[in-house]
Amino acid sequence: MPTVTKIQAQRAIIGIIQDMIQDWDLDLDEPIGANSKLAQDIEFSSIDVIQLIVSIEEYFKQKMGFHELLMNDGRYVDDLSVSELAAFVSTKLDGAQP
Amino acid sequence: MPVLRLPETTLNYLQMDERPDPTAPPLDLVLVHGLAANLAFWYHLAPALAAQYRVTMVDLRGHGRSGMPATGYTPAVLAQDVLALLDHLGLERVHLLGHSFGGSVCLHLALAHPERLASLLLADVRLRLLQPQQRVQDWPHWERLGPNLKELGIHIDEAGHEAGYQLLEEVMRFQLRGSDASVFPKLLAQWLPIGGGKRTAQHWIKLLDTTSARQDFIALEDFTQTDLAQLTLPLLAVYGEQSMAVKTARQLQELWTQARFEFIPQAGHFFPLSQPEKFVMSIQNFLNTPCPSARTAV
Repeated sequence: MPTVTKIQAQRAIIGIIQDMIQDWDLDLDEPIGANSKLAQDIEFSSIDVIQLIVSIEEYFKQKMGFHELLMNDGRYVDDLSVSELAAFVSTKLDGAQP
Repeated sequence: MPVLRLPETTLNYLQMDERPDPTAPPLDLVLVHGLAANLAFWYHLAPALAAQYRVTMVDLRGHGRSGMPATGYTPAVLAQDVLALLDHLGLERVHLLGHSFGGSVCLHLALAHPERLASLLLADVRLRLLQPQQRVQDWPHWERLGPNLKELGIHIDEAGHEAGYQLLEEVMRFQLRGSDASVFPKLLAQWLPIGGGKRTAQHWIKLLDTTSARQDFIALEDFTQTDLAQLTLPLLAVYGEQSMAVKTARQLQELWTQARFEFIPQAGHFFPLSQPEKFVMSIQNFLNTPCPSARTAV
C-alpha cells in the first residue's frame, strides 16, 4: 500500500487550493475536484502553480521534483488537473519509502 | 513561499539548492525576471542550475506574489529591492542573472554595488540609453504579424517609440476581455509573455493603471555609457539572434570588449523559454570557466 494514496493526496491538494483561492472572487462552474484543471478551471497563473507545489512540498515535508511533471519535452505543459497532481504526489511519496 | 517584508513592499522569493553536498559553501546564483513575468519564468531552468548553485529567484515588486506599492518601479529602485533581498539572505557575493527588463535591474545593482557581484549575466536586455526607440516596424516579421493582430482588433501605433509596451498592454487587455490567447500568432510568443491567463492579465493592467509603473518602466537608466564601460565584472550577455534587443547587444559589444557575447540562432526575446537547454549551457559554460573579462579598473 502506498504511504499516501492518490485519494489522500488529492484531498490535501484540494484543501491547499481552496486556501489559496479563498479571496480570489472566482466564479467556479463546479466545486474543485479531480478533473478540475489548474489554469482552465481555477484560473491559476504560472506563479500560482509554483506557490501550489511549494505548499504541497511543505504539507508533505518532502521535495518532489515537480519540474518532471511541469515540463514536457523541455517546455511547460499547458495545464494540469488535480488528479494528475495527486497521482504524481502519491507516486513520489510511495517511491520515497524504504 | 518565503516573503521578505520591506518598509515599502513585500518581496516573494524562492530558493532551490540541489547540490550533491548541501553542506559545502554555496555559490549563489540570483535570477531576476523581466516585465509581466514572475519567478516562475525561471522554474524550468532552475533545477539544472540548482545542481551546482544555490539558486534564488525573486518576484520583482508589482509582479508575481510580491507587493504592489503605488510607486518605485524604475530599474534603480527595483535594484535596491534585490539588494535588500541579498542582505536579508546574507548573500555577500552572487552571480546575478537578469532577463530583459530584469537585466536592466541587475545592471543598476552591478553599477551601484559591484562588490556584491561575482559576475553579471544579461539575457536579451534592451537599454534605453543605447537603443532609445523600440518601434514594431523594426522588428523581424512585423509585416506578417501586424496584419494578423489587426484582424484580432489589436491596433498598434507603428511609429510609437515604445511600441513593445503598447503591444504588451493591448495583448493583456485582449486576454482580459475573456479572449483566448491561443488565437495569437505563434510568432508573438517570441516577443511577449502571452498565455499567462486572465489573472496574469488582470495583474498587469492593475499595475499599469494604479501605480507609477507605466512611467517608471520607460524612465531612462541612471547610468551613462562611460559608467557602463567602466564595469569590471565578468560579464556574459546572451541574445536571441532575432530579438529586437540585438541593437543594444551590438553597442554593448563595443563598450565591453572583453565580455562574452552569445547569440542564439533562430531565437527571439524569450529564448529562456523557447530554447532553455541552449541557455542553460551558456550559463554553465560561463560560470564554470574562469572569466577573462575581469578587467583592470580604468
